[in-house]
Amino acid sequence: MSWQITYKIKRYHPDQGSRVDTFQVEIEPERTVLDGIELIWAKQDRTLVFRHACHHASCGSCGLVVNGVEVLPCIKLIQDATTDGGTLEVEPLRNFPVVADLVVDMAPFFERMQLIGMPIVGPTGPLPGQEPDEYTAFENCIECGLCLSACPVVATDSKYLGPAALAAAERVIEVSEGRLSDEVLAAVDNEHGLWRCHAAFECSEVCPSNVDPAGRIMALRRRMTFERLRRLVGAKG
Amino acid sequence: MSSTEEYLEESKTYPGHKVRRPGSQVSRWFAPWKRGLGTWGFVLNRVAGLGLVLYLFLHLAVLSLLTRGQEGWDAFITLAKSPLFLLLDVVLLAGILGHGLNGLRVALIGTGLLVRWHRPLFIAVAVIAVLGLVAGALLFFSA
Amino acid sequence: MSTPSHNYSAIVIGAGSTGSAVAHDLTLRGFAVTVVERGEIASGTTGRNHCLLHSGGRYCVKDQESAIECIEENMILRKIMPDALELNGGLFVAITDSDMDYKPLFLEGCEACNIPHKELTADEALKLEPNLNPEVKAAVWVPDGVFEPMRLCLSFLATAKSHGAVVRPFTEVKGLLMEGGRVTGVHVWDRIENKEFDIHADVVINAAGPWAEAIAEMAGIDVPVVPTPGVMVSMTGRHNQRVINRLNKSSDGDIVVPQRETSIIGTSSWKVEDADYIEIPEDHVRLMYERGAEMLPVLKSVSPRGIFTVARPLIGSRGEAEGRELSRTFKCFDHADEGVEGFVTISGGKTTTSRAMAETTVDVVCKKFGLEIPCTTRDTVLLSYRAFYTL
Ligand SMILES: Cc1cc2nc3c(=O)[nH]c(=O)nc-3n(C[C@H](O)[C@H](O)[C@H](O)COP(=O)(O)OP(=O)(O)OC[C@H]3O[C@@H](n4cnc5c(N)ncnc54)[C@H](O)[C@@H]3O)c2cc1C
Ligand code: HEM
Ligand code: SF4
Repeated sequence: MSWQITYKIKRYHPDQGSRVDTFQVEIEPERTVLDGIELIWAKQDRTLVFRHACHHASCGSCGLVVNGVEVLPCIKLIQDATTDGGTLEVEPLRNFPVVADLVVDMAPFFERMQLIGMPIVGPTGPLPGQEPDEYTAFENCIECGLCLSACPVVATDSKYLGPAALAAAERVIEVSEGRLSDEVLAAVDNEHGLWRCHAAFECSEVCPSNVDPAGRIMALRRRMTFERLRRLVGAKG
Repeated sequence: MSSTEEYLEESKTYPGHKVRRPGSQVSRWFAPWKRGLGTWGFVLNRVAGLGLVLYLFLHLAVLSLLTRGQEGWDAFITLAKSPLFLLLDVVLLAGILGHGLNGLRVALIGTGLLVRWHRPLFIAVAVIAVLGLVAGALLFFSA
Repeated sequence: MSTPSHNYSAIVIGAGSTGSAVAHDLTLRGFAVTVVERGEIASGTTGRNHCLLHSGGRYCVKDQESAIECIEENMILRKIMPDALELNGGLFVAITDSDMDYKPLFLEGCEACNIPHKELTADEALKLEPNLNPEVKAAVWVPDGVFEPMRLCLSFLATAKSHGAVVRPFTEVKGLLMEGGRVTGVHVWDRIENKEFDIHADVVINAAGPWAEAIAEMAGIDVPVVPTPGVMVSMTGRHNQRVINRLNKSSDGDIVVPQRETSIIGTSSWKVEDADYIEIPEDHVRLMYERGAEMLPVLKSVSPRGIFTVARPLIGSRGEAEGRELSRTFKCFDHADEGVEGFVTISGGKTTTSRAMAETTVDVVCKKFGLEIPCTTRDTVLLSYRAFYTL
């Protein structure tokens, strides 16, 4: 049984400026908000551009703002997003450069992640010759950028390193027992780094992978604050 | 606050295309709609903080009346005892309590302490602030 | 390593795993490459597949050529693509007597195809994977892995970009430029700026997956591709740490792939006409739950997080006689055979074997120009996928 959904999609083209287009879509409630967008592209408007790949929250490419909140539309079921006859207002991620329609340029995000250098997907399981139980857990951040979009601080400080990269930095310290390279440290311990956060916790609210970037930023702050205090009182080690 | 204007620049990801860099969106400091408790805390704290700064200036302006002699000051004191003004005092108290108490909360979690408790802490702050406010209002209007 | 010097240029249509690997190989062999992809990178079949870096175990009984290709490529990708893979390993698990009957065949197959493997008792298997069906009778460990398809493509493309390739997402091929029986370029629609223009090159490589037939048609050539979708169900939570395969003949819903925070059950198979938007058959979804739960009963009690489907680019039988069949598992057509120069189609295969598919394709391309440049992709460690955005 299909539902009748109204999609209000924010459109943008470099020459034509912005507008909102309305589409009527008939779709089963068990399919996703992203399926609806793909359906619009397939059957109604081939000019609509949007990003997507894995359709199960692992690639991190499809992030959007739906009804005012950052989501991964690939795991947002229609029935969880609205009701039969309901409306979905769809916009591109905020705080990113817009390319066209729902497509944003993720470059500013990946520049930050590359700076920290924490590999997100990596060889974590048993290699040939290793015992199968030498498996270790791996990182969950899918680099979707929802946190950067939701952050009210990034909104006014485009140089702010932002949640995911700061969370990655904390993780680097955790796995490498306390060490950050000088370059990374300079970027983190800086007015556009971890001290910029105002604890709105919006990154952790929207993160689809339970990374809790805000919690990690605060952990990093504690680490750095106590280290400074230690240095202040002249303690060694 | 770095104030960047919206501007077009060359994209590396999509060669041959210009992308539109978003400008600074101060409005998002004041938009907690559909957001979590953390953002409500952030927005209220900021609004109250700015309000307090505004109050500080007003307060200094009023104090400067003193330099102009007895009459002006007496006139002001009469005004200050009017119900409307007392109501404004209550708003001021709300700002002080909200900002001060939440400030303590932010200072705590901002140092990495009780981070997981940021939501209950916010509720605690709100409850204490409301109780303080009621007590304060009773005091103001009964005096 | 010096770049071979010649001045040939190439256009690759499609940035799935095949097109991305082909672009990388072409740049290493000195071609000036432009990649045109109508959507985002990996927005076709590749992005939405089951993400299994095959050890070859699945094919080692029935299709040993495929199996050998898989294990070889699996070992190569481990070396050249460190940050797009989760090397979780995999178990083939026997639940029923029929599974146990299959086991000796499977072990023989692993031997014959050189797939590293280790037999495990039921207890050992349950200790590794506590969520396995307690009825499990035995298991075999193999070096299965898990890839992140988009990052896999981005790694190839980032490296290609570092060697001068131009990668154009949202650029859809609308027609092929033809001059006297020769393809000389493509006519494209730039979907970002909504305008059309031509791009010229010495050779055009059609790596459009299930859409390869439509592209070949633009040159009047028949490459019969039958879009053959499969359903996958991504469950809430990760319930297995290794890939869990059913130790039996390949069938529906017999693999559960763990990836990051999810377990993905797959897959099935049917045929469609149009691969742009595929309806998901309800009964296939139910089958996934049932079959998945036979191996991991816990899957019965968790909710799905995403249900998705995508079409395999299977080559039908119609064109086989004309096409130059370079392997049973994928096919590379030099359309000079049909009298059209400057045009090559590559289709079929798997994401696991994309590097090998590219090697074969670029060998064919080089031969067309009389170039003898060896393939070096086996030993070229790729850049991080992140470099795609920062180069
Ligand atoms: C259900 C399923 C599960 C699978 N699971 C696995 C697995 O676990 N492991 C594995 O190794 N393999 C798996 N495969 C196989 C693998 O996904 C495919 O073989 C592989 O992705 C094909 O890649 P491709 O680049 O040839 O095609 P695609 O990824 O489809 O790339 C073709 C590209 O061409 C683009 N295109 C189309 N038309 C045009 C045009 N006119 N102009 C420009 N661009 C165009 C499309 O947008 C698309 O991105 C699976 C396949 C299916 C269907
Ligand atoms: C009761 C004692 C007070 C405490 C504990 C306190 C605490 C804080 C804290 C922790 C912050 C940082 C908030 C953040 O990081 O988001 C802050 C911000 C601020 N405070 Fe206070 N404060 C107090 C009183 C005042 C007073 C009296 C004024 C005004 C005169 C004031 C004005 C501000 C302003 C303008 C800001 C910046 C707002 C922002 O960054 O969002 N504060 N305060
Ligand atoms: S931290 Fe969470 S929200 Fe931010 S990029 Fe990673 S997965 Fe996305």
